[in-house]
Amino acid sequence: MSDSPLQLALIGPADDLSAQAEALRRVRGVRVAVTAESMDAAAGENIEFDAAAVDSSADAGRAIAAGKHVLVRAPLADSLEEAEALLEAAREAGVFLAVGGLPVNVPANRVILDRLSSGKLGDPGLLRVHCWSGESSRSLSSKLYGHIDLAIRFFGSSPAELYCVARGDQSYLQVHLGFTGGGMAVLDFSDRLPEGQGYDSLSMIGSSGAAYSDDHHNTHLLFAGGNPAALIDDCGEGLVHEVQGFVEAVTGEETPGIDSEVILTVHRVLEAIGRSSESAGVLHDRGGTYEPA
Amino acid sequence: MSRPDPIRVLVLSVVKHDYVARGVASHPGFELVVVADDPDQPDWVHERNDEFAREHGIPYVRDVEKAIAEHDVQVAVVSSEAERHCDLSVRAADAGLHVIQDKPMSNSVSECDRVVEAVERNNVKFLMWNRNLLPALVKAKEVIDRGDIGTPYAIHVDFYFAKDAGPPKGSLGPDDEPLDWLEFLKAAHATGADGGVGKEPMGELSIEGCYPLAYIALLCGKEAVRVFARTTAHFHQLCVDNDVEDLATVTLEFEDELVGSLAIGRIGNASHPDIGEIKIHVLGSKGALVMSEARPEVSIYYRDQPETEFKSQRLLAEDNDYLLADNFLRAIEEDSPSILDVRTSRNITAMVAAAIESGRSGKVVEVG
Repeated sequence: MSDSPLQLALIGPADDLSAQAEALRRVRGVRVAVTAESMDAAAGENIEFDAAAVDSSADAGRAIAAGKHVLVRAPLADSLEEAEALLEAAREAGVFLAVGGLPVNVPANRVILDRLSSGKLGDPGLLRVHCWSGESSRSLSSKLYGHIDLAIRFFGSSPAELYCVARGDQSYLQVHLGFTGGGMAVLDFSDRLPEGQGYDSLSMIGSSGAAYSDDHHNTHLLFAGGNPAALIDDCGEGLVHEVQGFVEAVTGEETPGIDSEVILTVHRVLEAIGRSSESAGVLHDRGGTYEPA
Repeated sequence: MSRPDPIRVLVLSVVKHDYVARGVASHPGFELVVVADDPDQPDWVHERNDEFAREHGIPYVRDVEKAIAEHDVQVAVVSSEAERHCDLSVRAADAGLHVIQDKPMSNSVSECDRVVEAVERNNVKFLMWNRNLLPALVKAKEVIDRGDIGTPYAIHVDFYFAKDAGPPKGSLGPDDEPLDWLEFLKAAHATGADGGVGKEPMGELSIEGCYPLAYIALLCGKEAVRVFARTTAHFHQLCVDNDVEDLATVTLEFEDELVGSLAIGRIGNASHPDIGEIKIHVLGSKGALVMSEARPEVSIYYRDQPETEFKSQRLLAEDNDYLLADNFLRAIEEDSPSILDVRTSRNITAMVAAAIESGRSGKVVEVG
């Protein structure tokens, strides 16, 4: 890595920026040069930067057009075609494009992936995810991208078959995946929790061990009259780890951890999930596209 | 006020789980008076029946109809191999006995239909032994019935038993003899891991699926009409050799908007410090509920603790036995439905059969 740190523009909602900038002080080889609510606003600051961490595909496109390396918060896009176009634009511009905000970078999931990779859990058998929030109006890609990416990484391949049941205009989605060799995953996503804290639960059952990561386990109790309230620890979103990997990839210190093939695979699966949810049909992988049996 | 005489109970084969008969006996309203089975059963069956009878100081009669005729019994407790469950239950119902049966109801939906017909024609009560009165389930039902989370629209059950079932998958060579299902399960009786004992191999959906599907029936009062499942033998050579699953996931769709799922597996001793992760997740129109079936529990650790001893001990779990027996007693006395009646039990078997078919075909299957 060169002696001068990578100059990073941090782009996103104003409420989040100062905390994120503070967290990124822990990342080696990077300096937050500017924070702004959009790429256009950052450009207006007349401050030089090499890379941008953005939270929308629109700003990712602008950053690529400006010749900046980009870390975009998942999903990269809302459609496969749009994702392909952005990846092609990045390749033509010679900039590095990575997707962030991924569950795989959350501390607990990094531990699980490490134990899977080292063989301690044996062959992956069953991934179970519950992911509930009160955040409505999110696209299917926004809700599912991170955990589909996680499933592909845990099983080391894209699903061989999938089935999705949706309810309430996709405010509830239940996704059932099958992997070659017998592996399987069931993931459910709800936007219908009352406003407030969401809930996450993940378990990974392997042939020789299992991992359980669950808000239910990581709960404290607050007694303030009446029934006690649950206090759930914030285990972090993995931002520091993610940006560290991005910086090392951009500066050539490490092989990029996120590549275009995985991004496109996730988008192909998301597109198929959308079709399955509409037709209530099982779709099978036919060489990169998902079709009915 | 004097108590009425206890109801006299016939133990109709006790080759598998004696916890059902013991559970019934834990209630003062019931009295075990005789064990019976058919004379043509193999020696190991007679030996287990005889041992149970001697332990309880009651006779063992190798003739079912004779035992019924001579011992003035009102209830039969059936815990034979699964493939004989329905035949024994039909004969008991036809003799006018109320029936308590061990799970699974059967491997065959048509056999279950015979029991439904016999129970309803003879106007007797039926209870499938279950776990629906564990403290966590009672609490979950209370919360849902009170409307705290509104109308449920999704329910999920994880039901993992952290038990081994012989050598791990892949540990035997191609020249080794396949593991014999019946002989293996007979030997597993010593540890109580013989829920699938019988001539016909059964996967985890058949052996244990009744419990989580009964939770869903209890909490939502509905049964799935359509399923999609993935099944595999992921852990144990026994399951590979006998072409049955030890891991399964099932998407459940109901007549209305309700959706559900079941994740079930015999995942091996190493995969959990205790019996296994068993959790219930319910989403409703006003909120959500996350319950651990094991709670309340107390954790115990000490030097030289046996590896086989659970570090977390469930509290009040044995109350489930008493409460089930009490529920059945009330069903008889008040002519009310039992907590897991014959039609619900039959429909659970149909859901399991549909899930197995879906796992094999890769297709969505309508529940028959």
